[in-house]
Amino acid sequence: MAEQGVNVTKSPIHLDDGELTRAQNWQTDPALADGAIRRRDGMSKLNSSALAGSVKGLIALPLPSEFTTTRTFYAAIDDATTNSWRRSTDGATWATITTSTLRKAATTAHANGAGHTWEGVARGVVNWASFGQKIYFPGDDYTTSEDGGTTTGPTVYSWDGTTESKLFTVPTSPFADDNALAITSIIPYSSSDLIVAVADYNTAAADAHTRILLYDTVTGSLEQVGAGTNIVGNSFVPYVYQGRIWVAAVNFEIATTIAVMWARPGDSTFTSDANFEAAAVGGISMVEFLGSLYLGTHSSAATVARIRKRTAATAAWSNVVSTDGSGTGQYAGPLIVDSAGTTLLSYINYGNGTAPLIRIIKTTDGTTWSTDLDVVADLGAGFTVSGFPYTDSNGDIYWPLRKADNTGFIKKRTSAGTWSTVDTIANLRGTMQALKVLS
Amino acid sequence: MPFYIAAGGGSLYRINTAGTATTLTLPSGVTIDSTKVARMAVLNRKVVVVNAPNRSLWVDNKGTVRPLGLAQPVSTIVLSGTGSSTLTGTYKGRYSYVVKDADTLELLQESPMSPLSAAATITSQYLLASGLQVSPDTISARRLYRTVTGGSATVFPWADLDGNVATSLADSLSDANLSLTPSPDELGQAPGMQLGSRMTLITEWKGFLWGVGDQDPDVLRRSALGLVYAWPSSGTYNIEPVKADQYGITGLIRRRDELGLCKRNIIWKLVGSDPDTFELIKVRESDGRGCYAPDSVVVIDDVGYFLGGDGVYTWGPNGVESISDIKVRAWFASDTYFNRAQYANAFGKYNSKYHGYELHLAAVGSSDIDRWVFYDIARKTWWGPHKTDAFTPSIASTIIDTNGVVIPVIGSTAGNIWQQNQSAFVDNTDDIALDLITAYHNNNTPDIVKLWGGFSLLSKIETAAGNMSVIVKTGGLDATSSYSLSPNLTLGRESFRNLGTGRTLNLQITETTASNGCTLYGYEVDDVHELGRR
Repeated sequence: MAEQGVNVTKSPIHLDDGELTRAQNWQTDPALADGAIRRRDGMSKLNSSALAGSVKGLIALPLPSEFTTTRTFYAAIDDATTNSWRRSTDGATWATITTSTLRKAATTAHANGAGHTWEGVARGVVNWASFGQKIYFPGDDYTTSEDGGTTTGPTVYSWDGTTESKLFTVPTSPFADDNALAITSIIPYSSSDLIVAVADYNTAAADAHTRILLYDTVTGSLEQVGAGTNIVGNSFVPYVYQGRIWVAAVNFEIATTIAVMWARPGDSTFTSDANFEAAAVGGISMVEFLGSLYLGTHSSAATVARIRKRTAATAAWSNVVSTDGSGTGQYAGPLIVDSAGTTLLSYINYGNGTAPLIRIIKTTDGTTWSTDLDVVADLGAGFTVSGFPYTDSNGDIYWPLRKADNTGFIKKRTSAGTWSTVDTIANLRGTMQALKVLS
Repeated sequence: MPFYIAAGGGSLYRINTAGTATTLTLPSGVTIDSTKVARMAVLNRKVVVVNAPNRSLWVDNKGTVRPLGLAQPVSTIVLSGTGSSTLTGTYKGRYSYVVKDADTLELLQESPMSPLSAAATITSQYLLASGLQVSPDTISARRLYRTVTGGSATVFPWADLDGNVATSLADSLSDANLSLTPSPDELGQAPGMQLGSRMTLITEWKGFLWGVGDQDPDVLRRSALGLVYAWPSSGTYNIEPVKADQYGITGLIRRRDELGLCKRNIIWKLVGSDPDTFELIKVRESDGRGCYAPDSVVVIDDVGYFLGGDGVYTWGPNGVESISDIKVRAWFASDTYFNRAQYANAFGKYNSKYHGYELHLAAVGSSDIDRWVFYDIARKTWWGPHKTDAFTPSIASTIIDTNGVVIPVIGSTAGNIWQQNQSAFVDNTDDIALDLITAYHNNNTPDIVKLWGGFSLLSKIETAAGNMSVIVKTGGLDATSSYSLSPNLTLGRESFRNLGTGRTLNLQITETTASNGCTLYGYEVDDVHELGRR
């Protein structure tokens, strides 16, 4: 009827029968009625609630939106039961899930003998990654010499909230005479790479070793960083500072001092930065604050624990906090910086010195420290160890603790600095993770 | 799940497929001009927003909005020796500001570098870099670079000074341990990043971003490959003639293998695949037949469509061609239909369902872009001008629904995004007013008076009778006397009496029933008897 559309170029008497001079809101319909014309399709509002003013730009992205994610906290349980994790979607209500839902993370029982990885208080201060809508954790499906029988290498798993996947088994170390004892930490290094810290043990020499592996979550490749260096001792929490991977290893059994060193992916060896502290003192946590590197230390012996600072401007280490007790088990760490980057907090056990015995302390300048939480007053007397805390996107910090009677607590510090107990559960191990998946 | 980034009323929004909008937080000091079009491009999952913001922006898929460029360190670092360590030699250095992803440590952004420092000679010391400036932007670290000993200018990644507080760093990294990868050589500011200026045009092509700034509108700039934040000075292309008019480059047409660079009177193209092979070639030079409306540019099937000064043109494998001259030149080359003063504000889009180019224009006497026309690419026919009473259009674009279907949309001055191609024949609650004027039928004898016989109308059977009006004019081209027929759309076919006498017959068909379809299969006028010249 009007298959030639509008023509306003021809003179009126030269127009053909199928031509129009106006076709307001008419269209053809090649899909349903070719040759006919009809009212154009209607329009509807995409956004029933209008923007603040005239729409002046719009682009569509066929990409997954990460604007809205559902965050679920996970904290590992460290016992021989089928209870595997504590879990919460709001940080207030927590529930135990069992191995029927998600396998257990590696327990400390694999390597808590004298001189082994988890001896003493270190077992909670490891950091496992929440990365790319998955959490990564060491599996419990391996055996060590302490378990008896044939030893197997530690494993790494991922969990996306629905499916767990085994990613790899840690290969043996050339500096050890058996499979690795444990995976200590798994932390991000880049958009696709994770750093996996592995604790090895040489039974014949009775000394511990560390390997830093770089795991590519996209390709699955695994490589050792600074493979030419035999890192003697365990490094619980490697840390990325100045673009380098730093470790502060300690070997309690052969009583070496802390060896601070760093390497980058591709480096053939680690570069030594410093050796300090008394024998058998280890670094258990590192963090950058105001440009400098802070290190918390711990010893299984009756040795003073410290927070040490490596000043960026001098590359020199200094003590900024020291415990004042004389008992065993003094330690400082883990350390964490609040989301604003203005406050550094550290767990610290002063031994049997000046009360309060166990505190979480804070500083805003790296020099002047004050008590933020008196743990003894809050949870009661008794030796308490800390797990690795987690800073939520809203600034809240969730801090797991475990007393000597194995009662575990999750403390919450709001961004305003108010503490509360949000969970109490036996045998809490402590490292906190938060799985973020698209919602 | 797809999502959308929108600008409206001085804010940026993330909008989900259900239409729920969430306001995005802008960087400190950034405002969005609610009167300017926010032009956007996507590169490596990052949305770049220019023209409307007073500082160009990029948005990641988490909704974090960052400035497209970080302020550059103004001064050099000061190098000297400190303490006792292992480094001996003579060094120079630079630094930049960097932003890393807090969760993954991925490098997200890096500023241009500081000037090269003076040389410092040290012996068995740490090399101390002091005097690092604190960035005015939110950053993760200062990234330091230095030469090998005795080096003149080539610097290598050295170390990051984390945070934005400390101003000095001491380090004794050996030359052997410096990264073998030289420092990035394609850092630089995007056009329009200085205060008081803006980038006006942006597009992505061959993995690079391409932009034009308002201070140098004749100059095309490109980013580094895959990087939204790095715009090297080497990626600068003067599009001749320079300073010949106030408009400069008025359109970027990103075809598969060619990037069209339109001015009002000339069209260039860029060919090649990388900075070493990019080459400018002049395509066309013709006054007024370049691009007048940056937002009218749409590429469909590797053919660019755009509005020129006197019509709509395509640029494709056959060169530049007018698609409006033959049938609707009067629409664009006269002042009868559209307000030509608003051509620069016209905007276009692709309607894939009907395989057509839709161009939005201002009606005569209007400063609003309140009309649009449709070009049927397959049939080479024009339709319209269309209008709606539901809203005043402000921009056009497309969205992708949850099924992956691309839907053309129109933004409104009231802040709504209107989806086209909806099955209901209504614009929300407003009717869609039909208005059609036929040819002046003359039976090939325009000077002979005829008796126009019985009239019949074939239509789709609708559920409601509607209010269709067929206004009949018989006589000469100046015939004004007329009467109306009122077909019933529920009948499918309806016949009427003889239409009357006259040299020509002209029909105007209107219908304004909301939510009622209206499909015409055709009309017939039978028994046309010539009565002779009068």
